[in-house]
Amino acid sequence: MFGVSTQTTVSDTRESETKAKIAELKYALYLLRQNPLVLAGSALGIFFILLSLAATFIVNPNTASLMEFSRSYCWNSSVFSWTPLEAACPPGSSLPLGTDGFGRSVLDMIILAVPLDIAIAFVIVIVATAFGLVVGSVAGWVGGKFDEAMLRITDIFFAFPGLVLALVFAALFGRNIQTLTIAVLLVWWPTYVRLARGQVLVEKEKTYVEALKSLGVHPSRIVLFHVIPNSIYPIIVQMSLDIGGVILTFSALMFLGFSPSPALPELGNLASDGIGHVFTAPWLIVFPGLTILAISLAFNLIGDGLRDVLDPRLRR
Amino acid sequence: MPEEILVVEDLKTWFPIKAGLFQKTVGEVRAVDGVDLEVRKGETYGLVGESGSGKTTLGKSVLRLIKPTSGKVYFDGIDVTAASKKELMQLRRRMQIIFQDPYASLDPRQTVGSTLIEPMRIHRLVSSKAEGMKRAKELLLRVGLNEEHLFRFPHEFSGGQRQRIAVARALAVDSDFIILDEPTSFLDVSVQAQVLDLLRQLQKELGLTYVFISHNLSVVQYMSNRVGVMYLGKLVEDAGRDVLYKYPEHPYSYFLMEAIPVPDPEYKKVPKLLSGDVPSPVNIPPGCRFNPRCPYATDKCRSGDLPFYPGSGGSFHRVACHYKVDFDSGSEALRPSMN
Amino acid sequence: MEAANGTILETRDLTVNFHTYRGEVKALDHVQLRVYPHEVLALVGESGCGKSVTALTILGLLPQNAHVLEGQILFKGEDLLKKNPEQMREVRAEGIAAIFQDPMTFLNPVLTVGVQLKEAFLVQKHLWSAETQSKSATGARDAEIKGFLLEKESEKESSKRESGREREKIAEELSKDILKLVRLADPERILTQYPHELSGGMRQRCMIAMALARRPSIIIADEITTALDVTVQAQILTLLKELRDTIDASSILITHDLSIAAETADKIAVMYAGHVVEVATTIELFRNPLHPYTQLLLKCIPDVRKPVTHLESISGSVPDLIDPPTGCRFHPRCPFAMEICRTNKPVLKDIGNGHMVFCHLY
Repeated sequence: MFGVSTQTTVSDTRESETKAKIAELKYALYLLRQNPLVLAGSALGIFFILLSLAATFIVNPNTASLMEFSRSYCWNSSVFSWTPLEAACPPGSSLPLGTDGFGRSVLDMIILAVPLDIAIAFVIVIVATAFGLVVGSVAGWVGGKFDEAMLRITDIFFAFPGLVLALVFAALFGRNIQTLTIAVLLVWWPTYVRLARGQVLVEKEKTYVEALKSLGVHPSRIVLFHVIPNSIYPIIVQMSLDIGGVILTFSALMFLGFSPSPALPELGNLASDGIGHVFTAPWLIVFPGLTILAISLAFNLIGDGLRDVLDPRLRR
Repeated sequence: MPEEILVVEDLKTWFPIKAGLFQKTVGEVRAVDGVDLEVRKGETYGLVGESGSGKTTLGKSVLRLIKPTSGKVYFDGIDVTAASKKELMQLRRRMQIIFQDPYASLDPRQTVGSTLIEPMRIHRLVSSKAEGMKRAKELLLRVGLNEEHLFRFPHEFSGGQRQRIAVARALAVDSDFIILDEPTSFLDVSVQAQVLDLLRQLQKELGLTYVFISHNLSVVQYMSNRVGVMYLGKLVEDAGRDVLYKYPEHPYSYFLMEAIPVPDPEYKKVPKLLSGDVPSPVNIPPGCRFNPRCPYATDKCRSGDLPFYPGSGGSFHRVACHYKVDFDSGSEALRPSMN
Repeated sequence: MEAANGTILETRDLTVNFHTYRGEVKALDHVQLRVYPHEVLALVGESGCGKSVTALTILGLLPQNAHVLEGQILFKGEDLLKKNPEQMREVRAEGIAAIFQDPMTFLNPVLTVGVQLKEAFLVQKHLWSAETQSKSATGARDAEIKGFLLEKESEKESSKRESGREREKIAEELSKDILKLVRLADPERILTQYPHELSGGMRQRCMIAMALARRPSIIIADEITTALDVTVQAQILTLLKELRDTIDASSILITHDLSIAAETADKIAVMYAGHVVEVATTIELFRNPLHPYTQLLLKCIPDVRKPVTHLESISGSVPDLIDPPTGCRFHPRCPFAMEICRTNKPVLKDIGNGHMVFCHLY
């Protein structure tokens, strides 16, 4: 128990602390590796994220839109006709996924759309989480009328089917990417308020919170530096699961015709091109659709895996 | 004569029971229902009782962790119950509490070092993290741990070690009054003495004052100078340690002692048992609260006020019972009235 | 009914591991226990010693991540470890009954006590079959209860299976009788109440009643008084002492408190970190403790009759069972540890009079 104590300098202590934190991280990664589903999901998710980052290097957005580019490969069709069906070429050797109604390579469009969708999804989830954390924690901690009010407000939002709410908002406020993002955000924020509130309610009763109060620690500090970090795991799980959900909702909005412009490279938008031509030109709807599926699946698997991994740690 | 560092006057802590659609208050849980006591500087006051006695609520009310419903608490002359925010902050530094459950009283995501330094910085006892680290290291050594423990998380420690960390945290802010709420009841009996001895040693070194709350009479006997027995929100007997254990005068104190199992298989005495269960502080019987279970109760006990009578164990012995009972023979004599 | 060596329950070399994400927890290591008929054996130890795991293993109630690596559990001559879950359920219904620490968790909160108690009677197939072997009531002092039960059984000998309603009525009568047996006043009323409406002591008595209702050969009581206040605990301990003479069963009383064992048990088995370190009759253990752990543990217990001037403790702490000490698991804390203690595991030796020690000193 009483070991030989060595002199500790400030830099020593900092080093030991980082070492301890790194060990924690290593252990978490080890656990993640054990689960094959998580592995698959993570791999897929990482692939998409890398794709998003590298998209503009793979496909030059300017050339991809050019009619010229695809014209030379689809000489059969009347290239100068702007009707979708005539310009669309089926998948072939040089255009692996075919072209869409504008004569653009579907593959290139998908590659351009992925970063847009993922970026929008991340923005929505992160903003919803931030807002939810703040409002939910205050509601959970303070209780009383504010809490009651928040409960009723979130109840109202939950009562609307998500897509309908987004549609109404989009219809009211116009269709550009910003308003559409806000529309989807409106659907998502109540979940995080409720989640944060629930977690804070649980943590608030715990003995260590009482101990902190007895030490004179200010409630705002307790919530910010102690309660929230201890509540974060379920919220992280929810975030990763939601990325898939947000993409689905957002692309559904686009699919239903709320896109700002028909040529926007967005997965739902791309899919909407093929609505009338499911049997004649199936590649228009199938490939963007599959991509949406793949991204949702990837993040869902990551979320599931995280939930499994983080849960036993919570049992400490 | 050491002065009183803690004075509690007629302290009551009631919790409202709400029911119905509009959450009307239909009754109260009278957890603490009028307690007077004094603790002198440097001593350990043991508080004993079973569930429903209110001993933990009393401890937390004294600290104002639970807001008392009425009554007064004075710490070193300062009125705790009416303290301003600023005064309360100062009091929070001097009055600390060690909780029962060592597995829950530390933030699981905070390293030990951070747990110790945070209160130091809040009370401005150190001006930099490095200084805090130095002090934290000293504190850990003082409670019998190592400096490498500064960087570990609570789950890496045993129950006994976690209680030591809790003690270190109380010392981190230079407190001089600590309420110990069942600090060893979750620990194995073989390590219980380690923590208790540490507490005693620190008390001697630093002149600390303790209120030791426990249901374990033997442990209270070991730690305390004076002991108070609580039943259903009130003190029923209050005496110096040796007096209470040798000559308990309140029937409840007596039965409490009798109920403890003796570690000797050849001890043949059949203990006198209390009938019935420990009551809940929702429906409090009139008169002496103990009367429904007391085999010596008379009509006088079932109504009216119950003052403290002086006990036979010296000037600090008081008993809240109208009778002086001879427990061996079962005879009882009315105590001289206090008026 | 009894095994060849006279035991009603015996564990031999019982070794159980738990598979956790941190590693393998070696919870039990070659645990040897013997329970004889009409005997109360106290299984005493501190946290992590494996006493509850032993109980769960005997009952077949181990969680999914537990593996029995080795050993046998001989109950009336049959190895329980070789039984399938359905057979174990039967054993639990009529052979071995268990009572646990927290009745609130183990009583169904949405069913009344009456329903649950009657169920304990209704599951006993032998009570209701046309051919009934009347259980011998030897040693029973509470003849009223036994007589009543025998009466019912002999009635059935002549009749065929009763209807469900008749069975219910008989079970209800039996339930009331058994509540009287555990000294609960007003059994009629208690049968209609829900667990949360009763106090802790009353709930624990109901649990005891439910265990007794099955007329088991062995009752396993795991820390049944730990969650109770000391005055209520005293009542329950007195009840147990009374019942011991009435009931024709052996008990395994699991507790961390040697004082409770001193009061209620005939024999004590002391466990430490997955080993059984000493077994002796209660008086012998207190008079002549042999294992260093037992000796130190006895010194740690304060005796309220004498003023306590000094409390002993054992230095160090209970080892982590994922990586337990080599050889004898107590050696790091043992004041008498020798070189051999670090390298070799001791053997459970019989010193005489049934006093067994697991230590190289002997």
